[in-house]
Amino acid sequence: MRPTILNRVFQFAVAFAIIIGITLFYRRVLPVNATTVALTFLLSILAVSTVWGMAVSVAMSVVAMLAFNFFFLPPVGTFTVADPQNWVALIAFLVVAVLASRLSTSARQQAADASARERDIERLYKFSQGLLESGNVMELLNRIPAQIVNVFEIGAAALFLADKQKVYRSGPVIPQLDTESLKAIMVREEPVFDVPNSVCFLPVRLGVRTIGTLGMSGTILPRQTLEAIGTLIAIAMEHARAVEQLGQTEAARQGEQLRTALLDAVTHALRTPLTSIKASVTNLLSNPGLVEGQKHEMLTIINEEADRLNRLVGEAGEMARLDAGEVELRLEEHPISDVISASLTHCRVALGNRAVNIHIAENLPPVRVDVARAREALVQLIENANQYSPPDRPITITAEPSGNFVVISVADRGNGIDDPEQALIFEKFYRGKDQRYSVEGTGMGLPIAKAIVEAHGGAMSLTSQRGQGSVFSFTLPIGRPRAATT
Amino acid sequence: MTSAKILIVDDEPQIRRVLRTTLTSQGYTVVEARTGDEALEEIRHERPDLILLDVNMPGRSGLETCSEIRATSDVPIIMLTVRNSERDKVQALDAGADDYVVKPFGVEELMARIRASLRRVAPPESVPPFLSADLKIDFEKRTVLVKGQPVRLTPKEFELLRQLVANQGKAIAHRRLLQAVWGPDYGEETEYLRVFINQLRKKIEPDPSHPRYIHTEPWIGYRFERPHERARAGKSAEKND
Repeated sequence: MRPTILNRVFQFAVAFAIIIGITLFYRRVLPVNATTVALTFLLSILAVSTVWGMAVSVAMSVVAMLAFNFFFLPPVGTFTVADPQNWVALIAFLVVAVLASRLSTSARQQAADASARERDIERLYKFSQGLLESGNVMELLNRIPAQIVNVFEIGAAALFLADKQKVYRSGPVIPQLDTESLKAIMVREEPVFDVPNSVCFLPVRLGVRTIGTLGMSGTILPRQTLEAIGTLIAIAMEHARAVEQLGQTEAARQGEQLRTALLDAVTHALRTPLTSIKASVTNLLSNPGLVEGQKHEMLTIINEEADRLNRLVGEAGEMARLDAGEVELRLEEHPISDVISASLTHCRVALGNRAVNIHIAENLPPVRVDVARAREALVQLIENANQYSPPDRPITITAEPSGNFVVISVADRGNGIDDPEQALIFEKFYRGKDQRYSVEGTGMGLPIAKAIVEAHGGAMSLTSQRGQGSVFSFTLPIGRPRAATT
Repeated sequence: MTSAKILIVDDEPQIRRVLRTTLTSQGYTVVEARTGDEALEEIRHERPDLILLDVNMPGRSGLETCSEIRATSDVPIIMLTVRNSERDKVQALDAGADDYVVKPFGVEELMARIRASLRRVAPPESVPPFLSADLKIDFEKRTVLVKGQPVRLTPKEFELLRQLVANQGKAIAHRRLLQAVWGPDYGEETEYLRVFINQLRKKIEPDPSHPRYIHTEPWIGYRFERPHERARAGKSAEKND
């Protein structure tokens, strides 16, 4: 804000020009008495002093006094000060010049201070906003130096953290901001300024504990601002840490709940066939009075339940492998009709006489799938539709293009699924609440189908309406050539 | 005896199938229900002599169904449960079951439980009525009045109370009580006693947490005692009613 020399010269010139102007005006244009002239000089000095400060206005008041004396006070044309009132005029000019310039200077200074403070507060606010946006500690730590450099428009910033023994930086590498100096400041407990190098250091404190150091280079920020920055960093770090911890606790709790539910479901799923088997076997062993038909019934149940157990164990293993991402897909291009007809062949016995409608859109591109897995997914959906809808209602299978995917849908005309249940139906071991245990099943078919589809990069979805039936749809990616053009 | 009618309540079709074959081969008549609601319906129509009730059913749970049945009927109930924890057993008994069997079970065990539950204890010795200021028990008419109000006891509760009153003033060992009330195959199931004694206390004691009639004998069993009624015990109590 310091005026340049040229600027100064210009200000003096203008000030003198004003005096000359006033003198000429009253001498040539409008002769008035000396008091009016003095008053005019006074006003002009007042004006100049408020705008340009003391140096110009004092010089101006001396010139004004000389002009007043020479041109307006008798004896006119001399510098003789005949009357003591001339001295009064001179002193009045000087006092006004000094006082007014002092007042205006301090007012200007205050305004400048206030706007600087306002800017700092704005920047601190912006800084705090930036810090609170990040949810985890790692992201926050990387963000702090960059935020400081951006918001406070300084050259470089470095944040050293004691518990991580690591420095996070932003901006160009400044030799003064080395790790050793940052560490050394930790023990100083108050800001350190290195004015010649435009570097300052600030210990970051949380309560009474120093947790790190912030080093900044480029512009020296006021001490108050520095301290506010330190406090904000500490609060933001504490906040992020708390948020992170909360998230971890929540995740752990949910995981625990899921494990318990899963364990419960597994227990139930395994115990049920075991119960049938054990009861049948003990009946065969201990009851000599069984007739042939009853014996056969017991043996049939044992056979069926052994199969069910076997399927359950197989599916649990399959699910675990899919979950762990251990299933290797043998991707090849196949027309979707291959997958559909393979699935129907597999389900032929289960479907019996049920009507199955198939609509495959014309010119469907081939899909890129592991054909055995894709069939498995579709079989699950067909079996599901078969189990959960009355045998006299048809099942409709459709395939149509959708962007880079083919959508395959299996629609049944069963009872449909309630909204709240729709979200649960892909959960492992979950079974429709009406049919939960009245229909054969393990509760793992849909989750497995979903996992297979997702392993292919597709998605599975369900739309269903109570009383109308359910439509399970999934997408499979189409082969490469077409994908490149769409 | 073996022509008794048994209601099987289980949502698993295969388990119903096994139980149906097993029970019919033993000479029982079998009725089936898939849900708690169906069970309540069947009870009204079929009046079964015993109910096998699965705890883990969708919709109305086995426990709820059990309480529901108990509100109107004293029919013996055996719960079938997959959980073997103490808490689950106590829950089942608390809901009003007379007994329970943990899945998977052997048929012999189930049959023994069924026989024990069906064994209507023929009144072995007649126990004289018990009368005190606020409790009247008539073992002939099978009525219990607490402060003049009739109280409903399940058959097992009533039988337990009879055993206790018959041996008034003497501690009866857990095993003896269990065998007397449930049958000769029992003896280790002290949690049954805990639950049933608890229910009895709730029904007949003025303050169940400070029992005056049914006292616990630590490590041994239980003892029924006539409370000390101030000075003029006994018959003078009747005037208070």
